[in-house]
Amino acid sequence: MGDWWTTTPVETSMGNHEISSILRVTMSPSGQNNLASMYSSLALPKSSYNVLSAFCTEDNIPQCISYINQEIASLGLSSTCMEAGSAEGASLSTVPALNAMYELLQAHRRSRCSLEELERDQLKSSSTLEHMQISNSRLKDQLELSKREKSGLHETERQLQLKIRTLQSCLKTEKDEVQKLQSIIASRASQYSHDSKRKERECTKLKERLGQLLIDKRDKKLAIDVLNYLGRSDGRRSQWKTAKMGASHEGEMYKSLLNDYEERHSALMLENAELKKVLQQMKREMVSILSPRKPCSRGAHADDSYEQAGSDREEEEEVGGPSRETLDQSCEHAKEQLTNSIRQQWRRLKSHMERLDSQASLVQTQQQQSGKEAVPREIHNEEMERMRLEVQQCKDFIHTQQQLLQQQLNSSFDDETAALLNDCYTLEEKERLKEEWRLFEEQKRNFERERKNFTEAAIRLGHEKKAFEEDRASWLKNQFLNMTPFVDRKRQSLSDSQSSALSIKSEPEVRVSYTPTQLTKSSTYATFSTPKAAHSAGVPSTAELYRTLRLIPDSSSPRHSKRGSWQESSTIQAADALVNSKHRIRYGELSIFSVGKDENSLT
Amino acid sequence: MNFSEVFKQSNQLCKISPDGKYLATCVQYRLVVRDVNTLQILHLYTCLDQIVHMEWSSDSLFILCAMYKRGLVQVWSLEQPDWHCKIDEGSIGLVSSRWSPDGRHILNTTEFHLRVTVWSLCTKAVSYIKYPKACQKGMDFSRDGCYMALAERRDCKDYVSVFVCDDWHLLRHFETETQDLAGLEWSPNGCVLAVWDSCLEYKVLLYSLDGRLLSTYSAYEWSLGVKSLTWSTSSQFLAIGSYDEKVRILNHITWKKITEFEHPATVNNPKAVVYKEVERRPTVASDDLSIHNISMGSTLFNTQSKCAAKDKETGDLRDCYFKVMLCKSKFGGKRNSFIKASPLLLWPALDEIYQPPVQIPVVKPDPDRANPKIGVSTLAFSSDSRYLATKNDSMASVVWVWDMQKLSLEAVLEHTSAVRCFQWDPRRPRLALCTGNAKLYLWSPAGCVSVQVPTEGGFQVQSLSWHCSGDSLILLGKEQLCLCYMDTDQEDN
Repeated sequence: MGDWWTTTPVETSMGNHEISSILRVTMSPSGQNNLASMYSSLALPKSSYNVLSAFCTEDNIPQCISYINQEIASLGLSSTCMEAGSAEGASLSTVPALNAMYELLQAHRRSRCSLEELERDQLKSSSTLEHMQISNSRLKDQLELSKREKSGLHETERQLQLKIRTLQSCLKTEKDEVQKLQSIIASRASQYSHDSKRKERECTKLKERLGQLLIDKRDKKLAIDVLNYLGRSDGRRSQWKTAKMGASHEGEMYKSLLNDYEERHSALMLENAELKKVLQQMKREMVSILSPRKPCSRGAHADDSYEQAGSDREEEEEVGGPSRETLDQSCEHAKEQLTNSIRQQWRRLKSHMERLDSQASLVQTQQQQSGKEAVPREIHNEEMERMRLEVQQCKDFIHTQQQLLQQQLNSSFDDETAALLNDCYTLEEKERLKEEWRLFEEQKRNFERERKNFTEAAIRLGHEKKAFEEDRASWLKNQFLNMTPFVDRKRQSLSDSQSSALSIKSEPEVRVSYTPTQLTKSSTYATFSTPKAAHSAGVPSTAELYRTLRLIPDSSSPRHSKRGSWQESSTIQAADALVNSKHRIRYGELSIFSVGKDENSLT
Repeated sequence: MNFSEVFKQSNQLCKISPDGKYLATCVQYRLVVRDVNTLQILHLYTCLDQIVHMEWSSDSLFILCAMYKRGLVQVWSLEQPDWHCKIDEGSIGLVSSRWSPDGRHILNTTEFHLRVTVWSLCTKAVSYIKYPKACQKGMDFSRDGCYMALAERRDCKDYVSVFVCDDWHLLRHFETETQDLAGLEWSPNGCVLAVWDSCLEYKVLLYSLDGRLLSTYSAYEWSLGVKSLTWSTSSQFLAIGSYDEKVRILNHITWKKITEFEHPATVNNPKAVVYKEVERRPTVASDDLSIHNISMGSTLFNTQSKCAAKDKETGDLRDCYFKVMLCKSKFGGKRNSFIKASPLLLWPALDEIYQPPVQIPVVKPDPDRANPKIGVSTLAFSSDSRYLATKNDSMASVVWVWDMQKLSLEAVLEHTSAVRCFQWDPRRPRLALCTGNAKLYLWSPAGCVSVQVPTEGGFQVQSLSWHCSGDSLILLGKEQLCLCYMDTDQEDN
């Protein structure tokens, strides 16, 4: 029944589908045709106006009008407009006609619109229908499949049950077999033991018989042949077997047994003592561990459990004293007490540990909670996310860099190498420059040092010159005042000047140093006075200067003295310049002024 | 390590006197007594037939020579070389002969275990003990020599008789709760007698000297049971080796199991050191050492050079190396330092460092045959009871050494061939073992070493026994014997 029911709808639906499609196919042209015919019925008169079969001709205008009137009236439009015309005859009143036409056109448009709508609806419904049909068929397939599966499962279940049944029967048979075999084994074993016993009995009987026979036969060979008897290993003489001997043997045996037991006992005692010691120590340690915690726990929360523990402790202390004393006696009571106290301690320790655990967990949870409040997880997460992102970015960046580097290396190797070489060269250059710079710096430093020396020397010279000038002035004054004969005076002045110069030369270090400004003045003054001074040879030569500065050895002095005048001026100038430059460097602002003064002085 | 020259012997009969002064060897029907130190022949006795069994008396004054086929026992005196004694068991036959602990009585077991004849050398008296049981170990003397326990079988039931060795007075006689008693052994302190059932049932019974049953131990049922049993020298432990390839250790107070040692085919214990023997030529070894042991540095080479120097002195050849498998690298340094300091380790060759697990060769026994080659057949405690050496028959080439303090596996010694015999040094924790080739193997907590016996003509060590001082070792070949002297001075270092 079901099958029939299930199959038929499919067919019917299929039929419907086909029919509908056919219908659609047939309908849509027909609809168009209808429309066309409607059009044609309206349009034909226009298109085939001259044709004989036309609707309206010159002859039948009134008929036509009346017909149209009728038609219009049947369509529910006002046909009165036409009648006015009909009264006149052939002429058609245009306004009503046009009105009618307009209305007709309106009606036509409306009808078309509705038609389109309908068609659309029709399409929609047909598609939904199709979809429904498809889904229906799919569901049917599924149903079919599940049904098939169900039947398959049923089949396998049946098979499995069959198997189980066979296996059960097998098991039963096997069990039976096992039982049978066990019984067989048991019977065999009993049979075997019986047989073996029989055999053994026979054997013993035989043995006895054999022994009897041998004894009866008085075996001649059975003998011992000893040269002379030996003494006992312990030196004693052998003793007769007596009851007393037996008793002594028993005594010996028990003695040895007793000894063994005593030994074992002592060993156990020792072990026990050790264990007790350990126990005692453990107890002590437990007490020491627990006792310091008590006050704080008391302060923290004085709950019932604690009170109990406290009482326990008191009890324990009461018990602990005697137990310790009676420990060595190792009597039952003490042992019990000891174990009790230990047990109590242990319980306490356990509870303590549990409390600690719970506290720890509590703290943890609190921490978790508080952590949530203090540092919101979202922020934390956000931070984490941000950091991760950053790391990722950095990684990407590094990666791209690497890639680029790789690319560059791969693509333009020559250029790269050139650039690299260039880089190398520049680097080399740089290095070299640096080296040169360093050298230069060193030189500069050397120069600086030299210049310093020179300036010092120049200062000294300036002092000397000043002294000399003063001397000369005083001398000249003396000369002038004395008014000695001219030739004598001249010679004397020469010799005097020389001697004085020499005398001054020997003591330049004694002079007091002057301030730089004074020094510059004096130097400028020196440049002015040099031509005169050169003639007088009062100024010390360069060689001498060098010698005082310990720049050249003394031996080379005569050679230098030959062209002393030139060198003298040049060195002085150089010294001057050096002084100037020094000033320039030392007193950045003052330098301009000093230079300007120098120029002035030179000009 | 020095080796003596090779002497002849037959039937592997060669024993050092209990006082350690003499060495008695049997060559066919001759008995040769030598001085242990000089190896000079002191006495030479001639027996009536080829000697099958030889035994020193406890006071080292007499030697017993048994000729089982003839049913004859001859006794020789060291003090009086012309003194002689001959015991003839006659037509009843003889299967076993031994001294009583006092050295003045001889106990002969007749054929078919008809009886045990006790011959007194003092009084010429003969006494019989009937119904001795033919089993793995049916007779045992306590260590102090006071008591003898004898397994008996009467009316298909097992009995144990305890005799006072002094005058063979029957002290106790009690029935044991065994199906088929297989053996009995006194504890070293002589107060507890361990009795075990045949392999069909795992059952160990412990009796007091006065015959009370102290405890019964059974590890499992329905499977082959006890294969071997031994007491520790301190009487503290009782080690039971069984067919399930395990050793169970019982304590002496509650007689309950303390622990059990398994003998797995893969050693997983990371703390155990596995020594594996590999055959190699000596010339190659030094190169290998240099390659593999860079980490060990100069220490190894120092020992090596020292050993090489020693080689020249003693003429020893060592061409057999152990791969020392250090299961954990962190132990490496420690072990190496041991190796360096070890007096025993003459030439350690640390070739490779293995990671656990280590596979051990296993021979699957044929289940259809009786007495399958599986299970722990040999157990031996070291003299200080610190170590226990065991051998599982399905891994015949491997000796396991267990630490009794830590109750864990200490070392695994894997050899190329099956281990014939191993024995602990009576003074030190040192194990000597042989595998039927020309090498002597020694293990100590410090390490492991093998020494080639430097003799011509293929001396194959079949068995060995220590001198009571632990300074020398008798190596027994098929027809020869050789003494091996340990370097005492080196040990002191």
